[in-house]
Amino acid sequence: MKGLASGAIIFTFAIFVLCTGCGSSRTSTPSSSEQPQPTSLLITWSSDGNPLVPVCNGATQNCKKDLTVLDKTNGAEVTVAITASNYTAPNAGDTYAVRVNGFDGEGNSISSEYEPVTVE
Amino acid sequence: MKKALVFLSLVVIVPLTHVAQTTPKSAPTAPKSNLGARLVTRNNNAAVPAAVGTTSLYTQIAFDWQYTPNIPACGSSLTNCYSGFTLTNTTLGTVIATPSTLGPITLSYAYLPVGGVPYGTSAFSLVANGYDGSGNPLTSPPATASVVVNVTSLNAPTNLTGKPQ
Repeated sequence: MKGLASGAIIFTFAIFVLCTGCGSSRTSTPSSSEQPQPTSLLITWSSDGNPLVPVCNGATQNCKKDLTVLDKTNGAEVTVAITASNYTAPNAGDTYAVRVNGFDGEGNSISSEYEPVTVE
Repeated sequence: MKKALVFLSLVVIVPLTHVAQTTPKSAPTAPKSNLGARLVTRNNNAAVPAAVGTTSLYTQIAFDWQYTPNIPACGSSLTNCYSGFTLTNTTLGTVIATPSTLGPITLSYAYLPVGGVPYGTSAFSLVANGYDGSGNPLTSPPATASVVVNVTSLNAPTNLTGKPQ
């Protein structure tokens, strides 16, 4: 009788441990379908590429004015301040490119080539 | 690689003002001086640090001028004499060189701006420095010159990366 009671206690404890383990495993490692999908893309750059070209600040000659972020997927363009070093694009799955805009020595608007954004 | 157009200006310097309180040994002559500025193109072999893809084509500005003094060069006595020249970047408001570098017989100077010659206009002035008969400092009106490095193209941003959020 005493042995039967001990066996029941050990069995109950074993079931408890197993169930606890199963539960923690299920909550700590969710399946891939449960992970949140990225909704935006943080675009960063280390330099506008023209450190010796002065910022326009109202001037229209020999200066850099702003940047354009192009969503190549839908064609949408956003203007960003030349002093910025990052931009959060709304569509994480789209393809983006960035260029620098400014003025040449004769006051003509000029732009760099679009530089594609490399997604990490 | 950017291309640049350069415009130089030359201005005639005005004679060093002479307010001698003692009679100079020789009569002042009428000095005629010009200040010239010439941009020197980047040379990969030159001992000038090159910031990759960031500077203009130019690493230095070569100045030269003529000066006919109306008083003698200074010796041990700093009276009734001229000691040399002061070159100033009037765009930045910085003194580039003083008579300790630009002595009375100096007629040229190579200026190497840190990082290269910037885009846009850079203006400079050159004055002659001297002393009157009481040893008070004298400065001539400035001769001026300017250089313009025009932007003709722009570089794209660098190290452009995107990180899903």
